[in-house]
Amino acid sequence: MKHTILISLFKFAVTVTIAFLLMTLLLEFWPQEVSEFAPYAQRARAAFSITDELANILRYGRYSLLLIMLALLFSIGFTTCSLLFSMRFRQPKFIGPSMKSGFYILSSIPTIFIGYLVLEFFSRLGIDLQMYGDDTGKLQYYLIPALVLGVGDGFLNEFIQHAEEEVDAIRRENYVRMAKAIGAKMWLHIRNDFIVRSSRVILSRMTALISGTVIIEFVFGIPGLGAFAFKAAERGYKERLMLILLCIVAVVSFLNLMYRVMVTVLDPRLRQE
Amino acid sequence: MYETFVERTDAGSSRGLTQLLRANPVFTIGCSLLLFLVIGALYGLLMPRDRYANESKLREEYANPPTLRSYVLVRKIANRMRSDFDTGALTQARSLQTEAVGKWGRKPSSYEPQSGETIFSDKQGERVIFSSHLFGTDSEGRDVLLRTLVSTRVYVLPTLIAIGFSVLPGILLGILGADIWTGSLAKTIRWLAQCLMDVFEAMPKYITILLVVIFIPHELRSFEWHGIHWHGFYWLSIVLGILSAPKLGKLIMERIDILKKREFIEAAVAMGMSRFRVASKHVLRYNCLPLFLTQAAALMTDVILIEIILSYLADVSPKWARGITVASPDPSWGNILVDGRHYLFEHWWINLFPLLMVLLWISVAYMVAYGLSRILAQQRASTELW
Repeated sequence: MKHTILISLFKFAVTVTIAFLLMTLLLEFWPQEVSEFAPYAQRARAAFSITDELANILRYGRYSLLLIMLALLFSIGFTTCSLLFSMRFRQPKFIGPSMKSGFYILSSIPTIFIGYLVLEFFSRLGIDLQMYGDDTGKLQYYLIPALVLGVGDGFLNEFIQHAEEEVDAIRRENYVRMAKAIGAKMWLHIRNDFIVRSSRVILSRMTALISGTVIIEFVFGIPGLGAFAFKAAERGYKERLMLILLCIVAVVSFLNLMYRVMVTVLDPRLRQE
Repeated sequence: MYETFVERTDAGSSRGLTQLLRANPVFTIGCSLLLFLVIGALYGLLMPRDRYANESKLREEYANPPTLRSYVLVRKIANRMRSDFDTGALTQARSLQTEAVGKWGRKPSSYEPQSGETIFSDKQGERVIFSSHLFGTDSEGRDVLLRTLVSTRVYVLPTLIAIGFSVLPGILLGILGADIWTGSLAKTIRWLAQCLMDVFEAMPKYITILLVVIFIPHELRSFEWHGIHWHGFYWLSIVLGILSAPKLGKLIMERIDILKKREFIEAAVAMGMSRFRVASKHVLRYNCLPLFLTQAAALMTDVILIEIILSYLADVSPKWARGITVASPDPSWGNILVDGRHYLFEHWWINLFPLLMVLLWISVAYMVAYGLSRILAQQRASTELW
């Protein structure tokens, strides 16, 4: 147990260091271009303060975090519906596959297009979904963007596929079949495996969700980390963008670390190994 | 039994091919659609450029305001300022929008061309089926069908580049990261390969691409090299390939870890085959081909989606994305969708057909990849049976 935690911590540190080194090398050795961004970038570099930038990232990051959490909730909801339909309601046969195909088609549409479509649709109903300065604290402004984020760009499609594979894997396990055969309580048997596997599904899609926030925040005017990154990119502010990227790599690596520790805690077979 | 399998998978004879296609309906449908799309794309490419990228109408329209386009420009500016965090700009944007609505009397989405305005070449913005423009025309009066078909060429080379830059590093990382090497140096390399995969996997695609766009110098965004026109988007496809390499690498790594305990690998090692030969023949060629196909389909989807997203971003920030996206009047699905963004409901055909084409290409890519994987699995099953 201690050994696993130490190894995971070391791996986390190495991962973040590699990311940091890659970015520093890129920044130091890549030829600086003389462009229209140059004066702004020079001024920005002179005034660059790590603490200020981190404070900004935290400030904008909370809006993105809220968006990501809500999007995850929506995706989990849709996936559960799809799984329940395919497992519980096998008759008539067309319901499960058609529902899944519907989700697949919807999910294949680019997020940015769904975003504009939803925005236009609601503006016709007299509801302005775009966020203004004083709307950042209102939860209702995050619901529709989160729904779009949780569905588009193939996100829901891959989420459902991944979840189905994991559910199948649980059902195929010998101990689960044995428990089913002797009529034992199923939830007690599959609880740990379920937590581990669902965390794996969520974690595998985390980067895609963070990535998607750039588009959603751009469309709906949410002042989150994605919009902050786009603004930095527009002005050629490499340092800020790299710091944002580094922070995201660190957060995702930390989540990976937590996952490894959780697996070791919850799976007795790994503890024995 | 073996003979039946051989007969089923023998693509050389026409009977074998028919049986193969009959046994794999997904692959058959995917191939038929692919053929249809390729013929469409070739038809589009054979058309003269004037038919789908007419610039003269564009100039005329800019010269004669107010038109739908000039209204759109006002809205574009307003939206751009609205997305700014600055509250002063926000107030300005609101007043601009109010002014715009006051001037034309309604929102752009519900704006209809007045009589005498020739914004749409067909009957006042209506799509006339079986007219000369089957999918209607866009805001510049150009044929949507032709533009949609011609756009296919934009994605071919970037997809191939992305696949190349994803598969080669993916294989390398997968082999280096697998638990097959002995010795302390090999273990350190394995550890580093795994960490490198973690780093690239943790990088969000869109934010990394935003960063890469800044790093590409303007003189390298569009240039001629030995008669080949190198476009800025090709750099991004290289980055896209590299970013998706760890995913493939991890899948190969897992596959190697499963396969190394199998009897045929042990037999190959016992026969004196080199590790390289075992890895290239028994692992990569026979067991990882479906992974490559799925990866290729995923990359094609990514290339299309990123081009569309960059087209939208370039619409807001043209300076930043100069030379990266396909610039109008040359068509791409991204810039057709951007063009139709302001009239989603009234002039729905501008968006619908390119969008359907995007969905069709993505579905075809996955169908062909899935079908080929199934065929390979069948072939493997027949070999194992033997």
